[in-house]
Amino acid sequence: MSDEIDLDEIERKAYRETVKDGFTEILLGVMLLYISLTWMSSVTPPFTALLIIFGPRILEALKQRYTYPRIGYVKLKDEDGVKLATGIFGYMLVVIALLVVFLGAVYRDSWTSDLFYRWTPTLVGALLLGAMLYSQGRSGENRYYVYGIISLLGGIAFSLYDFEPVMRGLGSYLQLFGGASLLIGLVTFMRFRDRYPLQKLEENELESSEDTMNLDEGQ
Amino acid sequence: MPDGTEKLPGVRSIDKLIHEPARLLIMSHLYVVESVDFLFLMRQTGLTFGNLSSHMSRLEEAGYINVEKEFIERKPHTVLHLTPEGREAFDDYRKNMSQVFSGLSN
Repeated sequence: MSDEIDLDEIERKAYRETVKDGFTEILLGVMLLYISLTWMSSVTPPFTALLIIFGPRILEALKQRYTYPRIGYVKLKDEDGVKLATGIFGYMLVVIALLVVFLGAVYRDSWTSDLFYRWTPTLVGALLLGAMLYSQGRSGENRYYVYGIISLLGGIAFSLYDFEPVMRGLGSYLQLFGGASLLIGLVTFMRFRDRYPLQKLEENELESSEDTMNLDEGQ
Repeated sequence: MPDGTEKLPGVRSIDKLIHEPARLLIMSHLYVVESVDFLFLMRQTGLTFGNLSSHMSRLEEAGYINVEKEFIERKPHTVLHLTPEGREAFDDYRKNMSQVFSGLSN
């Protein structure tokens, strides 16, 4: 038992427990790969709605099967939805504004309609950086800084490279980072399964605990 | 008859039920989340099954926590969360403890 009680650290630790199974990285990877599919084909596959509706349910079912029996279940406090949405929207606006200012300054005399498509990897990289900064803040884990910086630098690198056609830049970026995220998630999940065996709180243990309670009450 | 605690306002009002280390740990873990199950709390606090059950029972009797028992695929599953009274009691406990320590000087 710890000698010190730090409520913020306990909260961060609870958050870390919710993401240690690798499902978050797997979900992010699938999402990025799926977006790349829609982006490259310029046709929205019909199962987009199904993914939105059933995605969270599938994730919860996977957690019920693999995560909760190993490390237990925790429901974190609901965040202030308005505050969170305002934060995300505000961050997106700032990123877009910075990108427009930057492109305006650099390509003042050679502005073309392709320019936006060319720099979309940087935009997505900056948005991923925001998501990683959020995760770092909630978990206290510094690896999210590394993920975020790599995402942004990767976005800039893909924007600087001359892809033909220009839309392939974002598609390739999403495939690379989506694939990497999926791979990291799968490896994390396999390690999670090995490290945390199924815990069985059997009925006889429950009965013995009730005996303990009776003893305690008798004292 | 004075017992010495009058010089430290707040000592008398410290909730002894929460002040016990294991229960303080349980309350702290429940305070920062919405709800947890028995396994999660056992792993996070490092308490044994019987010990956690015993303290959980005390806190439930005091109305500080709510314990919901259910069966998932015929396996027992216990979910715990702080009640509004428990949250208030924990806030008061923290306030009182901080008053006690601010009343102590070198």
